[in-house]
Amino acid sequence: MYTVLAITTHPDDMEINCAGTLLKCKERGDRVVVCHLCNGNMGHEIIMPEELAEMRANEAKTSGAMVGFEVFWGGFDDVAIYADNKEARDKVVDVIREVDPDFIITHDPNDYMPDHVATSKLVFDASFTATVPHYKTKVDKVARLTPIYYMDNLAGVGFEPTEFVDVTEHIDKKLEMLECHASQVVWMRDHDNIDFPDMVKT
Amino acid sequence: MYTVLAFCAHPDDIEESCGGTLLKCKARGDRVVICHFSDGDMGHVVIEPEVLGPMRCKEAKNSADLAGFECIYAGFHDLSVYAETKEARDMVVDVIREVDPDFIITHAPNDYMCDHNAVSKLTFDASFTATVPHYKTKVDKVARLTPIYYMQTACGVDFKPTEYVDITEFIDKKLEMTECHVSQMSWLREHDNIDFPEMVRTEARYYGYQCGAEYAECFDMCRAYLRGTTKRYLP
Repeated sequence: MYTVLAITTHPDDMEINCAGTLLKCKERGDRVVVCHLCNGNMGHEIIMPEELAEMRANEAKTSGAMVGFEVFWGGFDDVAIYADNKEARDKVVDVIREVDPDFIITHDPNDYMPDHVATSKLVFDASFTATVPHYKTKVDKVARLTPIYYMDNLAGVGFEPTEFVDVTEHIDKKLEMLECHASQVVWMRDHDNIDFPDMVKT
Repeated sequence: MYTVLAFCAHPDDIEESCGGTLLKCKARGDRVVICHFSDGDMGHVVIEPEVLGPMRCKEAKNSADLAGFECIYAGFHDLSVYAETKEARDMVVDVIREVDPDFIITHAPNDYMCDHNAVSKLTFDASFTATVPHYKTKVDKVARLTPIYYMQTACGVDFKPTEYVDITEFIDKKLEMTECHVSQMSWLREHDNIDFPEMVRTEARYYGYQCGAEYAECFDMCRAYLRGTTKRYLP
């Protein structure tokens, strides 16, 4: 039916904010593509970045494979992604041109930490740029200009919803996908003092 | 009691927007640290930047000494503060890691000129980054994630206060500190047609009317996940 492209920041952001919606898209016959811009390498107090990046890539692949989503990677390190940067913008342009979605989901511009904010701006900027025929990037296609849906901020702080999706049927699967991110269950407990699945369910 | 770290773009921004609040923090026993990003070197119609920069750093130090605040200069120059660079972000991360504050004060994101807005964004970004253990910078410590209070914009334009601090007891000292910025008295008169101490006093009186104090300063809390608190850090 549609092709939906969800561009999120760290592995697990998709599960927190829009997995239920994407599961519902998949169920109705959509092609679902997720692009994680960052590799999540800084998201642990003990495990070192190089090892953690690989671990989190596997966590994301497992989660995506469980439900039949395609998984793309942006390749950025955590807390090292800047929106006002041609290289970053072109990378996102390429993902959009490659996938050619009917609509895009991404982070809200005033989400809680800099990587999410940068992602939001990059997606907004790149999704227009990708439609400009003479702006040449690696992928030799031109995308269509599509609606963008901003997902909820973490814990909903500062977010005013205008659209809702009933994910009741998919809540168990959403939480199962979340728990693939075993490293993050630990990070959220240690860095944020939070029971991650409980917060997402609530 | 607490350690408060206040970031601002130029020498004299602090005195106008939160000088009274910081004096009140000091009076209750807090450690007060100010960090001005820029040396204010472009802020005069006649005096050249190479002369004005050091002059304004000295004015900032004089003011801080009057109040017993620690004063850090981050090393930037006017109109050259950019939020989207790793170098700038890491510099702010290092200040935050070194000081390890309980709460942070900085410019609102929609203030009147680019240096202020860059400082606001850098503070928001760096204060999160400073808490990430494997993100290595010169200072080998990890900071805590703290609330951020945005101080009023210049003259309060487009600023919606949600917190007030009664600074009536400290208004004279605040104005004395403001007047340490001798170079700015003439800059503001010539560039903006403004009597600086009168403007600062008027703003404090105006906010006082909004909250039932004789003189007040006001803030808006940064709203984001993990930034909320049940404590009142402001004095």
